[in-house]
Order: sequence, then structure tokens, then C-alpha cells
Amino acid sequence: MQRRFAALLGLFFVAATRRTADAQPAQPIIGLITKTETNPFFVKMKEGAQAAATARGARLISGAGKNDGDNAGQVTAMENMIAAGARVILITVSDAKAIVPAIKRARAKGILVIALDSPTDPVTATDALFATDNYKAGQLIGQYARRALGSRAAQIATLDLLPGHPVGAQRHNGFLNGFGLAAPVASVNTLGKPREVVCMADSYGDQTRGQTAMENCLQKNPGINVVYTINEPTAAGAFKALKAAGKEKNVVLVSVDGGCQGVRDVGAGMIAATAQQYPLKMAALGVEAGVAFVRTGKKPTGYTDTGVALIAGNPIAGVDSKDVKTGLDLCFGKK
Amino acid sequence: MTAPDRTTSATTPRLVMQAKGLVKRYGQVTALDGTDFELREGEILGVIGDNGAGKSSLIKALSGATVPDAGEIYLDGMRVHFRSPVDARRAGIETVYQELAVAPAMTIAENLFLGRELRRPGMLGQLFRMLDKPRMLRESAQYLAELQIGIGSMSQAVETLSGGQRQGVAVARSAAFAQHVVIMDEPTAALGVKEGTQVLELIRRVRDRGLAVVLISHNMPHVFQIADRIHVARLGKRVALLDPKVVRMSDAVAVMTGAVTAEALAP
Amino acid sequence: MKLSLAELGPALALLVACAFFATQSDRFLTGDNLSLVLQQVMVVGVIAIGQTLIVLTAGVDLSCGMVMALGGIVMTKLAAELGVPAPIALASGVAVTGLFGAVNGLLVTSIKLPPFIVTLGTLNIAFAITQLYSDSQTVTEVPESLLALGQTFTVGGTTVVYGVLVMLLLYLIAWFILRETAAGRHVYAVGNNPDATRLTGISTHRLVFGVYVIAGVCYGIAALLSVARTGVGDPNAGQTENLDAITAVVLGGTSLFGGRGNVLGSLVGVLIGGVFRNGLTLMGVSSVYQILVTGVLVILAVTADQLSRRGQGGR
Repeated sequence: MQRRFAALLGLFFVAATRRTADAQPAQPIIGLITKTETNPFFVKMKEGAQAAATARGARLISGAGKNDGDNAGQVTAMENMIAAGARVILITVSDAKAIVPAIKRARAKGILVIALDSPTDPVTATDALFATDNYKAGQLIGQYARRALGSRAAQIATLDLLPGHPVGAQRHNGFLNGFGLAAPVASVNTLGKPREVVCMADSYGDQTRGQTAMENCLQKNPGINVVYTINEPTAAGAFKALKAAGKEKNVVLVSVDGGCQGVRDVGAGMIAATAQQYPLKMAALGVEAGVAFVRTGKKPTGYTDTGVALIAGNPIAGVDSKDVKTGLDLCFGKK
Repeated sequence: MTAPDRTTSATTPRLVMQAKGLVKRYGQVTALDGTDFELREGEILGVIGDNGAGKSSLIKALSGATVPDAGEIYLDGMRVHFRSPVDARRAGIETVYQELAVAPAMTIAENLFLGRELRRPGMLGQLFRMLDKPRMLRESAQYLAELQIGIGSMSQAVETLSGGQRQGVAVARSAAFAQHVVIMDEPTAALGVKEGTQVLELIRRVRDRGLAVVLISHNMPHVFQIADRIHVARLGKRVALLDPKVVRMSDAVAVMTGAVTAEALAP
Repeated sequence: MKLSLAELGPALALLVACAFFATQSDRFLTGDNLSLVLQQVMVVGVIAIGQTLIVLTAGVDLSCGMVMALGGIVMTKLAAELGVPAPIALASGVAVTGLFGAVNGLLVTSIKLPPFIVTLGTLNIAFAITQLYSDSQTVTEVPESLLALGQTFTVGGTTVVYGVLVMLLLYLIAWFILRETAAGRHVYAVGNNPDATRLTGISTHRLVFGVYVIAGVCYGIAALLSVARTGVGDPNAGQTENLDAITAVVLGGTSLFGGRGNVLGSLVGVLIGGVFRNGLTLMGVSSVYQILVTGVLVILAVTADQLSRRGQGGR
């Protein structure tokens, strides 16, 4: 009697486990690793990735480094995600070179790795790149600034990110190129410095440091009339310094990113124009490509431009721009 | 039954400090097993005993570092209860420790007055709580001069002094603020021969100023050099009070280790 | 009072740096430029006062910058979004930073955890709370009343920011207390030899706890200065201020082992940082060189301190 009961129990368990194994579809698991958890740019990216994943029946696991430049944190996140079954990794790399060995190991295991927003060094280290053309972003605001300046002789201040960063170099050099000055091409990591650039300072993308950098530049050259900034918090700090010096009306201040606060600043007349980028689109395209890879084995390749648009308070003839309202509809961050 | 007192005395001087039946247990271990203690006015009482004899527990009870489980302590004939070292200090008992309790980077004057700083009179002192540094310098110089410690400037950092001089500062601090008793816990243990002798001289001068001194030491020659009487501790009790002028060092050690009882010593 | 090499060194280095930059740019030694440098260092300057107190007790506080950021967010959110009057908003911000100081102090004195570890933990906690409470958004509509310390007045043709006066006043108060009061001397004593200090009857736990709380209050005041300077509540402020403050303290001659140093030295330390940043920008030199020079100066400062102590026969 007991033996029969045990046998029935055993059969039951075998049947039950077989059923659950058969009922499980291959749900694609996609890992998203951003530079930090808190930057609204990456928050938007995560939202976009989550929405795209849900729509396609995929599962998204996300992680990040602790701060900008935390390579080790990203490597750990990648290893954990692969161990958890992720077959696709989408990553905004903090350190373009240092992350490459970890990516190589992942790809050797057959994992698809796509870079979002920032390229690796070399670019071919990942299967594909979905990013803003940062050089083009710089060109757009450079063109706008040139026309907004009019006939005055340019005295340009650039508030950059930090030495050697590829995105910082592309935006800076793109700006110079768009402005009509001699500038290095997109693949170069050093910052161009033509005669018209009278002050170059590093802001590390931070508002307070942007303010300090602008103050010191104004001390050096009170005649500065064009300011390029690496991102909108830096621009906000620069504006504060310009206002304190009574120069905010005569200086053309441009920036990059298109975050909601930045677009509001354009609307308020603090920033003349900003180049808006689309983290949501990067994430959505990345998830799409990832799901396609898991289901059909098709890999994306090369670089896909996720688009950049000029948002300007006052449109200027000769330069295509979108207005502030459009910018607010498309922006990332708190609306 | 009290331990035999083998000291010679013409008239028995006043007892500055006394303890009866002190008991202290730490879990299973009995550190003090009903020990007695007495300290006469103006004497140097050496306290000797083997490890585990209860010397340090006795001293901790007398200086307020621990509270005994049973027994009484009398200061100048009055019963006292010390709940902390601060209580003992307030009652006029100062302690000099083995491990040079001075702040090396601070000056001699600052160390002397540490925790007892003098403030300027009037508004400066009351409202702004400003220190009267000139006065502290003057008084430090006086205290050291009374003990004939030869150090020039009270503004020197203590770390510029030799080991013996540093201990001299600690001794001067205790002598300056003590009203009855100075307890010295192995004061020469960390010092060399010459400096140890200097500190012994200091201790004599402290006694000469009218303070009674309790001197705990492992160093038999030192104890026999300056003690007026010797309290022998063994197994948590006082087993003898000896007169170093009468008893030999080897006998004292024998009583300390229990090889010989105090009664058995030749008178 | 004999001044050791460690105490004179920083001031000398600052003078040499100023002289050098004056030769490189004729805009450097102008009243407006120097006033600017003071403005740029006033936030780290006030943080460095709290850090100096803690380092004197042989501790360190890595959480100072993040706690300051939290204080700034609390102040600005209360005033901008809830319409709380400025004095109450300010007091609330300072209360929060003071509370963090109390937590640090409690963990260091009662649980006896090493300050480095404790403040490493509170650094992360403060950062997370700041990001969550602010939703990672900068607070922009800050009422004028909170920005009062950013206002300026003119003296002899130079504009000076009120906040700078607050920093200088706080330094004077700190210097007086540390030098001329018993409590100040006890701070030195507890850093120099905590056992000896305890044996004299001073409550070292209360003393060290009090130091951490006062430091927390300093970070709250620094938050107000930061808000006044930038005009916003920035949740990403203060990220490297901890290292900047510790660098300033070391450059100023205070020993990381405790018990030795001078709070005015920390003022010199922050000025050195500000002068180099300003001077190098005026010269058009990359900020990387500022970082290089700071590193070299730190090593020189610590070496000078060590040598001067050995020369005195110290152990």
C-alpha cells in the first residue's frame, strides 16, 4: 500500500515538472547597464527599455555603476546579469577602454552586447552602437551660435567635461566645426583650440563647477560673447556667473542634452539653444534588437544614429530648429 | 583577625586612609577577599604582591576606578563611597599611572591643568570662557619648582622631555592637586635606572610636602629605598605590614610568595 | 609662540602661488578677482572647519559633502515647494545635517567603529536620501530670502559676498574656541592621547560626540552658502567636497593622527586650492595640472609636518 502510494507520488512529480518545463516559453532576458542610477538621462533610458521589453514579452534586468567612471561596478553588473540568464547586454559605458575585456568575455559566451549613448574604444568592441551623433549635436549648436552672434567678432569660452573624454571631445569639436572654425574630426579625442577660443575650462558636467569655470573665464576675458557648455547643468551654472557679471544679455549660451530642465531654461531665455538627444529611442531600439537576436539569432551591427534635434527659443534663418514646446514633449526628466 | 603589624612606632600617627574587609569579585574570580588597608599621615606606603595578589584591584577600589562589592573605605576618619575616579579626585586623591598619562603634543602647563583649567576673571572668563594662560604658566612653574624638578619652560611640549621628566610632570600634577593621598601605580616601571632614581627623589619630596603616598611597585630595591612601611598583598588579603628598616628584602619576598608567614619572621 | 615649519609652510606656499600667478596674469591680483576666489572657496571653507575639528580628534569625515547636499535640498525644497519661511527652512536643513553629525558621533563613540568606516556608510546613506527626496531633480524656484548670503556689498570698489564674511567669522570663532577655551584644548588632548584625557576626568565620549555634531552644523551652514552661491538646490552638489576638505586640512598643517594643527591652516588650505584653480584658468592651463600640483603639495605638507616633529625629538 505504501509502496504504491510512493510510486504514484513519484509519477505525479515527474508529470508536474515535465509540464512546467514544456509550458515555459523562452522569455528573452535583457540586461541594461547605465553609468549611474540617478541621472535623469538614464532614468528615461530605463523607462524606455522597460516599456519596450514589456511590449515584446521580454524581461529587463537593470543595473549601474555607482558614479560616472565606475568601471568595476559595471563589470560586476554585467557578470551578474549573464549569470542570471541575460542573453543581451545594453550598456552606456563609463570607461570606454576599461570595459572592453569584460565585453569580450561576454561576447565569447555568445552574449549580444550593444553600446548605448557612448561608444567603446575601439568602437568595434561591441556588436553595435545606438547613440546620438555627438559631433552632429555640437555642429547644430555651433551653427546656431554663429548666426545668433551676428557680425560681432567671436570670443568663445568652452566649458568642457574633462580631459580625454570622447563624448566631450566630439561635442566640443563639432561645435567649433558648426561655428565655422577649424576643428578636429569626430574620431579625435583632443579638444580643438582655434584663436577664437579665448578660454577653455573643465566643469565635469557639474553646475557648481560650471559656475566657477565661467567666473574664472570672465576674469580672464571679460569680452567673452559665446559660451559652449557640455551639458545643461553646466549651462545653468554658467548663466549664474554671467548674470552676476551683468553679461547674460549679450552672451550666446548653448548646450547639449535636451533634458526637461534644460529645455525649460531655453524657454526662460537662459540658454539660447540646446541639442536634444533621445535616450528613450536608444533604449527602445536596443531592446528591439536584443529580442530579435534571442528569437531569430539576427545580430545588429554598426552604428545607428538615434537622432538629435536643435531646440531654440528664437528660431534663426538658415538653421533648422524645433520650438520649446516640442522640446518639452520629447524631453527626459521631470516634465 | 588583623594581620600582624610588624612596624615599630612610638606614638601611632593619624590614619589618613583606611579600608576594612574589601571584597571584589569578577565572575568566578575573587580579586579582593576581605582585605584591609591603612595609610598613615605623611608616610610612603609600599604595596607589594605577586601577580594576582589583588594589588591593582585594591588600588582601583581606593582610587574609585572600581566599586567594591563589600567593605568600607574611610578617608580622614569619614566613610566614603567612590563611584568613579572623578569622585576620588574630588575627595583629594590623585593617581599617577604607569603608562605616562600625558598628552605629548601639549605643553607642560596644559598637561598640568588638563581637566582643571583656570579661566580668566570676569566677563572674559565667564562669557567667553577664555583661559588664563599666563596664570597657568606661572603656577605650573611654581609646582615644579616646589618639587625641584628642573625644567626651564612650561611652554615646552611634553614630548620634548625625557621619560623621567615626563613622569615628573605627572607626579607634579598629582602633588599639585592632591589634598590627602597620592597613589602611584608602578611609576618607575617604564623608566631607566637613572630616571627611576630621579622619580624616587620626587616621591620623597611629595611626602615631605605633607602628602601621604601609596606606592605600588614590583621593584623591590625601589620599595625598600623609600617606603616607610610595606603592605604585603597575597591572595586578595593583606598578609603583613612590614618595616623595611627591620625586615630583609628576601624575607619580604618570602612573605609575598607565601613561603613564610609574617608571624614566622624573626622579630 | 614658536611656529613650526608645518605651521608657516602653508601660508608661505599660498604667498608664493599668489606671487607666481600675479606675474602670469595682470588680472590675478585685482580686488574683484581675489574676491571671486574667496566666493569660490567659501563652501568648502566652511566644510573644512568641521573637518578640522574631527581630524583633530584623530577622526575623519567622508560624508561631509553628501550631508551638505542633503541639507541644501531640505532647505530649498521646504522653501520653494512648501512655502516654509526662510529661517525655518534654514534651521531644518541645519537640523538634518546636525542629525547626521550626531549619528556619526554616536557610532564612533558608543559603538567604537572607526570614523573612516562610519562616515563611508553615512556618505552613501546621505547620497541616497538626497537623490530619493529630490527625485534627482535640481530645485530651482528658490525664494530670494534663502539667497540672502549671496548678496554683495562694495568696499573700496570691490564687491564682496556676504557669505564670505560668514566663512571668515566662523573661522575666527573656531580659532578662538580651539586656542583659548578649555573645551578647545580638550579637543586637542583627546586626539593626542585619549586615555590620558579620560584619566583626568574629562568625558571623552561627550567631547568627541559634540565635535561630530558641531561639524554637522558646519555642513548645514555650508549648504546655505552653496544655495546662496548657485541659486539652486542641487542634489549632485558636494560629490568631491569631502576630499577637497580633507586636502585643505592636511595642506593647512593639521595632522591626520590627531592632536596637532591649526584651523586657520585649513583656511589657507582651501585658499591654495582656489588660487590654483583660478590662476591656472587665467593662464589658460588645463585643470589636470591643478590636480597634479595639489597632489604634490599634499605630500610636501605631510612631509614637512613629519620632519618638524622629528626635529623636536617627538616620538
